[in-house]
Amino acid sequence: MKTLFLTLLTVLTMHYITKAQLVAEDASGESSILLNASSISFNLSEAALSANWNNFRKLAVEKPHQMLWGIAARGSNSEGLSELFNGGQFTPQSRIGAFIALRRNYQNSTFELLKRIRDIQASEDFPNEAAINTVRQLNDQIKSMRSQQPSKALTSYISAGLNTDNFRRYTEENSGSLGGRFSKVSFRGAFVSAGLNYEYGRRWTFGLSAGYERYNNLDSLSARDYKLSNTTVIGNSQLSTETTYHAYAGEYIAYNRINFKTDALYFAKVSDDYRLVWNTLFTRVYLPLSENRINRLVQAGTAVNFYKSEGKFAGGLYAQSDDLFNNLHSSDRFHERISFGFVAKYAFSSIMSRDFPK
Amino acid sequence: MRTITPENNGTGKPPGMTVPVTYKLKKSPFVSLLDNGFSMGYVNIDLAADQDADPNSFSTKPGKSYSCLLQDQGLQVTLYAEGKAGDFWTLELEIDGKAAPLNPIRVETDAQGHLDFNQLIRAL
Repeated sequence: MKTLFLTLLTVLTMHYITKAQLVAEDASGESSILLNASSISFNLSEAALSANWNNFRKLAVEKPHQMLWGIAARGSNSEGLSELFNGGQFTPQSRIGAFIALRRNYQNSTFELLKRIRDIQASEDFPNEAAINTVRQLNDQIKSMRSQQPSKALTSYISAGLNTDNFRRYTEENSGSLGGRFSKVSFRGAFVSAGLNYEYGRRWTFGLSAGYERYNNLDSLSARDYKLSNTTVIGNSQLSTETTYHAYAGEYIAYNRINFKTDALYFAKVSDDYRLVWNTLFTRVYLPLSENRINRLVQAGTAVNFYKSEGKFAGGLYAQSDDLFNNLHSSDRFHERISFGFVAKYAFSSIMSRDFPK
Repeated sequence: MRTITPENNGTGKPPGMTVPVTYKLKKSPFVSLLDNGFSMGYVNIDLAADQDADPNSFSTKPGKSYSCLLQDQGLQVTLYAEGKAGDFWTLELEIDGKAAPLNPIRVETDAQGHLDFNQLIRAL
């Protein structure tokens, strides 16, 4: 794991230097990177910096088989601005991951005929009447074949990575002094997941993934700013100092969990300028392993996202049940466990996305 | 420019002439062009070499052109691609130094998720 970490760090640092302008774009959470980093399941609702390096540009030309790979990293913190690396250290919350994928397109006969056409056109005695007629016939054959066959492609992938959370925790136990109540916590997590994406015709893309991760409950702790004042009195002089701690209070748990995710995307044209991608039903299932204090969690929802036809994300709406079966006992009423909202960015977390230009 | 007619070649060469052709092809992000799937005037276009810095744009590199067969009826252009609803590609051609009257050719995704094109394009 240490070797993997060092390798990723080296590769990423190199990339960070060469693509510094890319990294700097993202102070407001605005970046095309996030969409194709979706396989690494970043939380997109918070401001963050991210860097990303992949070979998605090869997808512009479809081959029967293609190998895809990518590295993505993201740093964030509660102040909304961050640097991925700060003096060689990960910032308070950061995540780095890599994936490798194999894509297969099911238009085998078309690919074979196209190769034959290429070979005929490249032959020495070309062009001649007979060869041109053959090319015409082959094109007719491709046309009649393709009119019966919707496009189909299957992408299988594995992604893995590391994440860190560095923060202060406020506890009232075991502390001799007030200052001792703020302990530093360095969480080091890791994740691995495998997934499948199936594209069918012009309308549908289905995705599913299963993963294993080391996680913590930082999201459910309450964050506060604490001011600790110290006063020293000597004779008739008084010296006051003040230290501010941004700390999290509550029961902190680091645990292992399994996750399952599914997405079903429906593509439609809205107008010449806009298209929509509707994630008709997405589900997320989180199962903690040998940790009774953490509940199972099932989320489901639907989301409509609009894009400018050239690919730029234009906004979206979502409705999601954050706790479908009330495992958290937050409310007995189903409608109270549903959240609605607008999204400025959306990742289809079990789908490998194409490269969207900014 | 080389003129080939059945009368003067005597080897079954098709009527027409070889002309320099340049192009600019733009596509929306989900479009995939099929490997070996782009030909103009019976010349296979090297998409991998012609891809621009923007992965969704392809063009003849500066100073280069493809020597294509221009027949009496026009330039045979074939392009096979796949994509999602709402996807499209556009193609602009310069045949023998002049922009083709049909510029830009625009094709959208059909019911099967294809964006195929196989037509003769007239030159000016």
